Amino acid sequence: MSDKLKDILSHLSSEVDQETLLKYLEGRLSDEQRHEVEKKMMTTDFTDDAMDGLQEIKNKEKYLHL
Amino acid sequence: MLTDDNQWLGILLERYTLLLLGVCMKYLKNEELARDSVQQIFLKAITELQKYRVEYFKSWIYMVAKNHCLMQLRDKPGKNTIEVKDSIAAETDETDKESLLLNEKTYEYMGEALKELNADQQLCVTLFYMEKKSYQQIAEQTGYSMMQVKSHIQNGKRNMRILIEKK
Repeated sequence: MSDKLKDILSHLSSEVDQETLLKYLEGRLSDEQRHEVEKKMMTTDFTDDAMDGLQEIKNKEKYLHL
Repeated sequence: MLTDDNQWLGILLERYTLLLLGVCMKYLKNEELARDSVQQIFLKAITELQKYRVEYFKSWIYMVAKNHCLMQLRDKPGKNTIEVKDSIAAETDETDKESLLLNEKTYEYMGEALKELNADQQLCVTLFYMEKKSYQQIAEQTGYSMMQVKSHIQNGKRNMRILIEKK
């Protein structure tokens, strides 16, 4: 219980690599893995803003062609 | 113009492509504009990094990206009301708050704080942190949209932190 509670306050960010983020966006992760990505991405303003923006992109295949 | 330094920079920047795209999309709300902006931010970063020494690359590139977006918005009339938070200050500030984690009492307060949240926030925070569900699962279960779920969790977290700091 207290371990999980600790996550709520934590700002210690561990990075999500781009490969994993891409899989997340393409819906190729399990629910458990999705949760982990979401939790990590929430820990800094940078990644949090990025998550907001990335959800709004309609044409997902284009991620690969940047 | 492609020096060794530039090549390393290119590799470094590439790791941030998706994050930068996300940030630009959040502020500009336009895919094409966001994609162009990522390229412009890369160019700007390469130029600036040749002139200055940057200590915290991640915070710095985020600031460059946000400033770039805000400039774009400023050029368009009627869209200049977005407020920029000072991200670097915010992130160093957080290290103080980490010390809260060392305090055993904090856990007790957190349990109490969780109960004080409004129903939406309490539900979303519990499903996310305690039951380790994804936004999608929570959205399906509660009927909220993914963005609503995300913001209930964010606001819930923020309120809990405020409640704990008061105790």
